[in-house]
Amino acid sequence: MTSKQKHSIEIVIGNPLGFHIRPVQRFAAMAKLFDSHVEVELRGQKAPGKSIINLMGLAGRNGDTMRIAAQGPDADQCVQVLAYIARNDFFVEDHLDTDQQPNRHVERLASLASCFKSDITATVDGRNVDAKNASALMRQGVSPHTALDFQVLGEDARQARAIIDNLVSNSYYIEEEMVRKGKGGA
Amino acid sequence: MALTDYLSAETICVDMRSQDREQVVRAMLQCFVTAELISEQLIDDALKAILDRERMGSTAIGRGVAVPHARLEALDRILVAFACSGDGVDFNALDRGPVHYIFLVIATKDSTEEYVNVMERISRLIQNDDFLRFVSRASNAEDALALIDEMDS
Repeated sequence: MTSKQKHSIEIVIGNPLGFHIRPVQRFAAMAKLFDSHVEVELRGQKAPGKSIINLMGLAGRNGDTMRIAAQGPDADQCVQVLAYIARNDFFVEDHLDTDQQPNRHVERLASLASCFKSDITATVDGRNVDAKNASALMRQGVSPHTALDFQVLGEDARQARAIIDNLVSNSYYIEEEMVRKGKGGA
Repeated sequence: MALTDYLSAETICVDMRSQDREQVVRAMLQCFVTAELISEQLIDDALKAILDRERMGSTAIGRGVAVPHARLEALDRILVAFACSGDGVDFNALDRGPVHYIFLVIATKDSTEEYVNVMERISRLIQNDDFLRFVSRASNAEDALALIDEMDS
């Protein structure tokens, strides 16, 4: 990984309530796990991507185009992760038909793991599964409550592990589970 | 629209004494009852919805500010309360710091556009250093309301 890397991507906010507190908190919490500098641009206004209060000031609306830019040694992975959560409504479930997406936990895990170059193996009941393969995780019957151990090997292992830990420790951002467990952290 | 369309001196408390999050939220909801904006019966449902939302991630967003909020089926409008706490309230903030300024928002579920506008106005206001500095010195609810009115633009 080189420190001069610059990556950016544009996504359209697809959430009736816009880039509000929950989306901003999740975005900033994930952004903070990377070494790169992150910047978000909305309607010509820029804000540092790790600051909740500054991001909220952008007041992103449903349908707005949001530019996510990162510069630093892990810029590529950072932009991929942030774009994934942005495209998936920042995991906000207010408007999601959750019955239609019973496997969203493994899809979120596999998709975020796939943003990294490292090999990421999940151990389920002593069996090893490629964490980037949602179907394989499903075949092993991984539920939001399954205890998983992860082995992460590669140049971006630290960041990959941090993102996966964040996802798993927040109940895969399945909001019903978050309320039930009373996590209280983002 | 302006924030003062949604809050009044009766829903502002410049001297919140409790340091417990649940008690603070309950006291702020009680302001709506005193102002005859909601019924006493709605307090428990509103409190539960707000605390459930807090469990998904604290609404303490930095700089000593929290924005507890919920949308409720039983409500037909948007209501805002504001409180200042000199000692600070533990809102389980990510930065671990105490919360000194609290905007509480309860809203009807049918009010997406209007709700987004209210949240946007609050977001802008709390980024204003002058607002936070001056409102902490307001000696009564009327002064705080006048300050919100002046700086909410």
